[in-house]
Amino acid sequence: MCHQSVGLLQGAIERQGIPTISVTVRPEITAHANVSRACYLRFPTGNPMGSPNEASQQLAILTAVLEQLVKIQEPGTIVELPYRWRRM
Amino acid sequence: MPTPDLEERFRRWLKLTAEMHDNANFTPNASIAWAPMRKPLADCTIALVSTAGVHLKSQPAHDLLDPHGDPSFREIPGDIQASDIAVDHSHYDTTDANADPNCVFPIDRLHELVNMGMIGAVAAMNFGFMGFIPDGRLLRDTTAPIVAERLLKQETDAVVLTPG
Repeated sequence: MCHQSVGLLQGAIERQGIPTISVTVRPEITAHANVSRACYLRFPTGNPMGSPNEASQQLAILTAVLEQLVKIQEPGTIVELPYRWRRM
Repeated sequence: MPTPDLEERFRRWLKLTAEMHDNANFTPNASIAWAPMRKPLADCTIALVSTAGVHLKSQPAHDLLDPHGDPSFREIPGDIQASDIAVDHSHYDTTDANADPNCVFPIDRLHELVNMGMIGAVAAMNFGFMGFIPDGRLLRDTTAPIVAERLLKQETDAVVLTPG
């Protein structure tokens, strides 16, 4: 449900003319939500930005997400980021 | 995307949510809205919007018991730290998120990117939702447009959204 809600908020914000990008750990939902840009991480629910107290991993992920905000040019693109989940 | 595997997972999720919640109504956006980036990231004011159930410790949590969900939002100032945040959500394990809210709401990391010069600023106001809203129309037709308008009024250049 969190991903449906992200999609609806993302659509509402983008319709105001503000570019958006979302993080998803449930790409099957995001792929049907009709959002402009998204980054998929193979992470568990509750950890879309990574493990707790792992600042360097979180920073790398947020940086990659912002880079995709600039890079994605095709509406509806979901890019998988190359991070693998492991309990830190 | 979507691939055949994702299609099957989506169908299973739809079936499961329909079985668990009488009022479940999957609500996608009618079409994909698209706003282009207008300036370099280094000049952008970035806001965070999360459905992970984040709120300031001084604010009330969302209603976790209402079977219709809670579409209200919490305003989270950009100058706070993750340690000012609590996370409450009815449908995922919030242990990690409460140990370090940056797992779901990377506010400390966003401040670091300002200091590094990668982005211009953190938005004055950011927004926390609790994403369990089985009938998406409740969110779409009530608080989503209000928050979108507030983001526009505070001159937000781009938004990063995170789920739980």
